[in-house]
Amino acid sequence: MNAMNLPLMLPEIALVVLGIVVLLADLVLPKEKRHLLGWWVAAAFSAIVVYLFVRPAAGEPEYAAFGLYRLDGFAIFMKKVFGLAGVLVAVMSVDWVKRHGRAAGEFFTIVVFAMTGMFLVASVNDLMSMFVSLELVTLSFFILAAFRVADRISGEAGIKYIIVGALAAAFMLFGTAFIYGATGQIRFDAVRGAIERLAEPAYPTLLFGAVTLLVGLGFKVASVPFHVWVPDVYQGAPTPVTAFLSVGSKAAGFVLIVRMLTLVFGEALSNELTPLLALTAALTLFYGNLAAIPQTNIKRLMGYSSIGHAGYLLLGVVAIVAMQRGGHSYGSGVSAIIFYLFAYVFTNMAVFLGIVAFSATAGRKHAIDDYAGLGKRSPFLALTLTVALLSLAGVPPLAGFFGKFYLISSVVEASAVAGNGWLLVLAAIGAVNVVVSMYYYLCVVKRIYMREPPENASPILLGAPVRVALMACMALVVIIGIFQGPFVKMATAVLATIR
Amino acid sequence: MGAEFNDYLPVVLTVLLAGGLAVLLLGLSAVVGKKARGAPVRDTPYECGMPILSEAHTRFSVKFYLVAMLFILFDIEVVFLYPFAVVFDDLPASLIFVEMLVFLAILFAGWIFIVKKGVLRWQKEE
Repeated sequence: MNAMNLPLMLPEIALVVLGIVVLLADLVLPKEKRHLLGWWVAAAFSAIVVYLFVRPAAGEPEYAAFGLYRLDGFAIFMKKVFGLAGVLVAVMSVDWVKRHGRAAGEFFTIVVFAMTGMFLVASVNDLMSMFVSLELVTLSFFILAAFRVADRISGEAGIKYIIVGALAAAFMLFGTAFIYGATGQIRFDAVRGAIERLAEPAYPTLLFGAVTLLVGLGFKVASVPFHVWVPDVYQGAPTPVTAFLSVGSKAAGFVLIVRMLTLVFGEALSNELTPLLALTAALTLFYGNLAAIPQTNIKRLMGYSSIGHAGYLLLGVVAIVAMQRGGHSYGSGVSAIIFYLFAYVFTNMAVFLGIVAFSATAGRKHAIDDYAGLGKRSPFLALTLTVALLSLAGVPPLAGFFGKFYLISSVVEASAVAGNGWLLVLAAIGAVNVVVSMYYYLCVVKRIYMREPPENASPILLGAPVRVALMACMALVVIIGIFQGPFVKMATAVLATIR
Repeated sequence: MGAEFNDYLPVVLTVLLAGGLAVLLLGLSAVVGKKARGAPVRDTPYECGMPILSEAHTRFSVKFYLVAMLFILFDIEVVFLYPFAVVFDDLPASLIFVEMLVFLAILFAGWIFIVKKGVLRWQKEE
């Protein structure tokens, strides 16, 4: 553990170099060619993902940077997911940046640095590097959210995000300080060791630190009551950024929650955290899904839907903590989260690819009513949007259905293992919300197919790269939904590398 | 008082000394010094220069913020050079020296960027 071990961090190093190259290339390239940097970024992200696939799989966790950095199967898996999401974001950004017309190089540079942050988040093994990596992601997103400077809504999104983000960062640091105060350690394994021989009086300090830290992470994953920024930021940020945010911030937050619960806290806090997280999950589910119903703006709708999905993922988190009680292993909670994140990333990306492609022709209003008659204007786009929305709603046989099933069943399993009947209520709440969420997703689908397009509607034109990206997402959503076996096996294999 | 509080004795002494000195100097100048007479401006902290009270909502040129931001960014360089110097002996020289070169190279790329973008050009060229 006590070595620099630089080759392990090759993907991160490559990303930093890529960011600097893009930044400097922006100075050299003529203005009308700068948006093409997006293809460079997409190609480089793809290369990194390919590298992650072909590199020998990690058996035992490996450490770099003197134990600050941990590379295990979970880290590699999340990096692949982040990288693929990054490719899709780069693809959908190129057109947007071209239309935006300013600061193309800066846009892609910041996207690359956000990606670097996500890669580091997947590998953190230390309270301080956790904070720095997560803030690298968040700071990049502050700038990206406010990128359309001339637009009032984008500026509002940026400012709101900065204020709430600063608050979340303060919570995280506060919690970190208390955990350090209770244990005197900052490296995850050392904290874990210190917790196991913790003297009784230090216990409340540790609990307070853990809860405060989870509050900070709650902001990142948009769980109620820390969700207030989500709708405005999702609506105001440029659409490719919203797409990136919806998977990046959420997945990064959940990676850290899983890391903290499995590597650091163990069963020590299970009794206290289980009811707390269960309540948060229930509130998040209800709030996200009910508040999505009256929305008229598709990006706001996706914002509330993202809160709802945070609720589902929290079900898995509850299963983890509940099962840790009495020394059980984390069980299916972690693998359910892994499976769901995987499915969610590509489904959500498909929706946002559709929104970006649609708004390129139909304008930036993003009203759900504008989607009326999309089935006639672009049958392909209508089909992909429908499949993606149905998957988000959890309609079998798509990926979202099995993901939700897996999460809810992990809570049921935890309820049996921990002997806690209340968790069955939570599982039921999860199931009820699947039905609630169908309503608002199907409202969009209804407009796409059942309404007539406006009089002067032109057909929607899709570029070839966007078409390919949409098809790839679609294929994944359907394949994951129908052949879950290999993907569940993959998630279970990833789970085995965490402990 | 426990032995562990002895460590804080210098802090207490410093606080007492600083407070005592302030009281002493202010007291002396009140007792010994001449009273300012005449214009009210003589009672203000700065007799010449900035008016001390004004509207807080004034507009600064955005250039000030840019320069302030760049100052902080490049100041970090110096902040990192100190711990670098402190741990230089503890780590293999090849590793730590190359690390610092990489750090400076990244910083240099940033410098090229800001110069090329014209951030340091204070006035628009005609």
